[in-house]
Order: sequence, then structure tokens, then C-alpha cells
Amino acid sequence: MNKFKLNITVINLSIIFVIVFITFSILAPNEFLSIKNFQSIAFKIPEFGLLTLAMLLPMIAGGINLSTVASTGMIGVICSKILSTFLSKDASSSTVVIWVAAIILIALVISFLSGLFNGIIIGVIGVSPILATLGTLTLYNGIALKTAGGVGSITGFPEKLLWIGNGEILKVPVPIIIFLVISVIIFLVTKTSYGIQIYLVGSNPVASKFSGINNRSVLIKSYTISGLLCGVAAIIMMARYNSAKADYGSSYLLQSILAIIMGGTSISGGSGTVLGTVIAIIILQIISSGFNLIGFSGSAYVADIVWGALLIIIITINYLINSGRFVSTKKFSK
Amino acid sequence: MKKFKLKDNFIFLVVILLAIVIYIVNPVFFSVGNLLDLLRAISVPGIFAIGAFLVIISGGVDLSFGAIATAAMVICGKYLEHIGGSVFTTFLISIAIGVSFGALNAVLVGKLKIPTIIATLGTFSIYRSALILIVPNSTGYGLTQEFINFSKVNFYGIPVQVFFYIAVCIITWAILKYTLIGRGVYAIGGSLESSSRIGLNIFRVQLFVYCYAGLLAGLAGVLNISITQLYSVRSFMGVEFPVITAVILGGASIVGGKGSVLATIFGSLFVIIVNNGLILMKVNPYWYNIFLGFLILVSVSIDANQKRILEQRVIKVNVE
Repeated sequence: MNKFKLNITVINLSIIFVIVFITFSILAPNEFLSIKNFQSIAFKIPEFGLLTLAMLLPMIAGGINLSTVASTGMIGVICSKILSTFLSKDASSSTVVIWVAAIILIALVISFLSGLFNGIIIGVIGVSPILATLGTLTLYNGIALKTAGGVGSITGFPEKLLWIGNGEILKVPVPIIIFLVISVIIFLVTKTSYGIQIYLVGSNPVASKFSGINNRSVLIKSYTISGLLCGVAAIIMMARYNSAKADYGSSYLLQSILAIIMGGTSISGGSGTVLGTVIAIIILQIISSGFNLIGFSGSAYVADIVWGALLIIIITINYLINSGRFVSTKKFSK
Repeated sequence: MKKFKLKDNFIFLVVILLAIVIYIVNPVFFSVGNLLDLLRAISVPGIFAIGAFLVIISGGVDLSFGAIATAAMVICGKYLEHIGGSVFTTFLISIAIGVSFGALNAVLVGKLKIPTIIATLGTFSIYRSALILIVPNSTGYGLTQEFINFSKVNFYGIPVQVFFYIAVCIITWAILKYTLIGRGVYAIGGSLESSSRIGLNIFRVQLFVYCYAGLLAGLAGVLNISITQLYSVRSFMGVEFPVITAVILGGASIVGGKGSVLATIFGSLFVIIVNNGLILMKVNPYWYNIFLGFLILVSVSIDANQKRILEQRVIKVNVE
């Protein structure tokens, strides 16, 4: 049943992808079908994509991580504060390289800890994920604001760091390469025995517990991985914008939930694929870039409306398909 | 009501403790002027919290109330500015907008079985963006004199908006306690399956919940115009999480079935007092979120821990 459902979602999404692609090709043939446009889409996908993937494992495990964007903001602000305090403008290039490496390491350590903290509150103390991450969202945001001393941004990073966000290898943007590598890693994670345990915990925690799975450790690991992805997203965002701000990417929070749901993950856990999620991310980014190209005034809002409508339509279609074929297993949704 | 509820008590104690600490640091806290400020500040988010509370005890989450309120506020603002209707019709319009948007949420949740968080996320995104698109730059001040007079009405210094809040609290409490549909809200939040088996019309209850939450959102939208004397598309951006935080701190269970109006009032009071108190104590406002986040975590952890202890006890009894 799971496999069957998965195919339907991926097929649905592929059809939508083709429709969206053709629509924009007709509406704006010259602008949309240009290398420049695809490059710009490729630069925009990674940060949104990583924040969405960060949401994936917790949601498969039956939870949610509302703190992704807040922790990304916190990591960005702390790292830039460290850089601007310790790295002088006239440092030698080898010092800069060491500092860039160090800052990436620091970002990953902080993100690891912030994810672990979520995992402990949810897995060990047993707080429901939506509440726990609502709390850490507020907390991380507070730490970011305190560190940055307000909503202002901290700017001015070394060139070497900026390359991560703006460089190209053979015309392919560096951030999209990072994103693809991480997508493949997460895909492989979902195929390991640990990955299958996440699905089990998400679909039925009681059953998984009695079949000898350590629910606690599965949950902690999934939130820690989620945290690490936020760290990577934070590095890319710092490097792309050459600045850090407590509320960078705050609009991504709801959008990333939307992408996850659209990608076929059930809100009650136990299902969801990396492939579906990545296709959903690409569709959403094409829609928002496409409306930008057509040049509506307030194109971002048109894109938002289309997103919202798509979300409801897709869920409804999935529901109708499921209720038609699996009447006997129809569940009461909350 | 008869039982001593620890969770209700927790937020109650925290509010009192907080008030005392703030008072010691800065006695201005209990001055009449500051208390009136607090009351005025609580009425709009407080009404939101009651609506969000109702949805949460029914087992859902509503993320669209801010967008609904914005819609009601902007449309009513335009109506006052360009047509210049009476205060009564303004409220009527806002309520009609709230109820119809709420009904749409109810259809998505009840008929199409879309999980509430997703349905309301979708409608949130549609309402808000559509509104900004249709009426960009809509910040307006041109209200009618009648409306301005209405918004300055007060009884013994207590502004009229506060009475709306009190009325909403009492009515909601009475509905939840004494009517069949009110008990139904708790029932479907506790267990959708059992309540459907005992013959409750689930869609009717959900329709009531979302329409009522929409109505309150619409009402809050107009009250916000009367407090700030202007309307703006961006007024309620990001209001969702603080309001849900207030409800959760008040002890309503996020999976539904539990919670009380009184505790929700204390939850809202808490969020408002923290904000006000940190200013009065001259604490750097950047500490606000750290403090609030820490308190949410402590509160929900205590709750989770109690629940686990309770569950362990139940298992022991069964074994014996």
C-alpha cells in the first residue's frame, strides 16, 4: 500500500511539474527557457530546499520541527558575530582559510547541539514535537536577536566563504551541488535500517516500541540530523547574502511545511519520500521564479496564492484517491 | 472545576509570581495607568486566543485567524473610509467575513478531511496574499467620526474593547459548559471516533468551531481598528505563534479534548505581562524571546512529565 501510494504522489507531482513548466514556457518563452533563469532557480533552491529537507525526517517520524528557520537564523548570527569579532580585515589568506573552515565547523557543532536539544526534549522528556519546537523556535530566535543586538544584519565576510554561496563549478552553482549531495545522503539514510525505523516510529510508535526499536534514539537522531541540515542552510545563506540576520528566511517556515506535504508526506507520520519532496521543492521554486519573470506587480503574492491553492488541491486529490480505494482502512483524520 | 488542576494552577502561579517580581523592581506596574494599558493590550490577542483555544480543544490547530482578521479589518476599514457606514453595520460585516472564511476552513477540514494544520496553512497563505495583492498599500486612517467616538467609549476609564473581550470569554465559557455543541467540541477533541459512534454530528461541531473562531477573528480585526485608529494589511503579521503560545501555556492540550477558558485568559495575560514587565523592569527587550521560549519549554516539559508519571501509575495498577 505504501509503495502504491508513493507512486501516485510522484506521478501527480511529475504531472504538475510538466504543467507548470509548459505554462511558463508559453507565457514567457524567452525569459523562462534561458540558461540564466535556470541558473537563478538553481541558486535559489538550496536554502529553501535544505530547510525543507530538515523538516522531512521529523515529519516522517510523526513529528514536526518548527524551529528550523529560527535555528538557521541563530547559527548565521552567531557565526558572523564570531567572524566579525576575531577575523581582522587584513589577515593573510591562510588565516582566512583556517577561519572559514573553523566557522563551518562551528556552525555544524551549534546546529548539531540545537538539533540534539530538540531531540532530547521530544524523545527523552516526551513533549509533543509541535510544542517543543514552538518553544525552541522562540528560544533560538531570542538568542539570535540577543546576539545580533536587534533585527539589523551583520555583514562583511571573507571572499572564500562567499564562494560557497555564489561560486560555480563548470557553470553549475556550488550551493545546488551541496543541496544535491545532501539530498542523496538523506535519500540513502531513509534506505538504511535506521531510515526504516523512522517510518515505523512515525506510523505506529507503540508497535515499533514492542518490536524492539528504541523510539527514543530514533527520534533524537532524526531531530539531530534535522538540526545539522539547518546548519548547512545557515552557511549557504550567510555565504549567498554576505550577511546574517536573526529573521532571515522566516517566510520559509510555512512554505517548507507546504513543500513537505505537497511532496506526499502525511502530517501524521509514517510516510514521505526524499524524491517527492525534492520534486515539490523544484515545482514551488519554478512557480515563484516564473511569476517573477512574467512581471506581475506583487508576484510573490500571486505565487503564494498558487502555492496555497495547490496544497489544498493536492491533498484533496490524494484524499479522494485514497478514500476511493482504501475504504476499509479509512482513518479518522484529526 | 472541583478538582485542583495543577496545570491551571501552574500558569496562575507564574502570572502572580511574575506580577510580584515586576512590582518589586518597578512599582509603576500596579498603577492604574499601566493596568489599563495591559487591559487594552490584551483585548485583541485575548480574543484571538479564545478562538484558537476552541479550535485546539476540538483537536485541530488554526493558523488562519490572523489572515481572517486582516481581511475583516481591511474591508471594514475601506468600508468606513469610502462608504462611511455605521458602527453596527461595520461589526456586522466583520462578523460575516469571519464566519464565511471560517466556514470555508470547516469544509476543508470536515468534508475534505484535510488535516487542520495544512488546511488552515493553505487558507492563511491564500487569504493573506490575495488581500495584499488586491489592496496593496492599504494603510488608512479615514474613519468615520461615529466610529472614532465609539472607540473612545469607556466605563470608569475601562475602554469598551475590554468589555468585548470579557463578553467573549463569558459567552465562550457558557457555550462550552452548558450547550450540547459545546460539550461536543470537547468530545471530538478527545476522540473523534468515539464521538462519531455515539452519534454526534462531527461536521456540525467542526462547522461551529471554525465559524466561531472566524467570527472572533473578524471581531478582533475591527476592535484592532478601534484601538489603533488605523487599518493596515500588515498589522497581524506573525500574530499566530504568540497566540498559540498563550493557549498552550494556558494548558490546553494540543491533541485536543482538554483546556479551560480561564486558563487561556491567564495564558494570554502571561504573554502580555511578560512583554509589559520586561519593559517596566528596563530589561533589554532582546531577552524577551529567550525568556518566553525558556518558559514554554519548562511548562510543556512539566506537563509531559506529569503525564508520563500518570501513565506509569496506570500500568502499575493494571499489573497488580
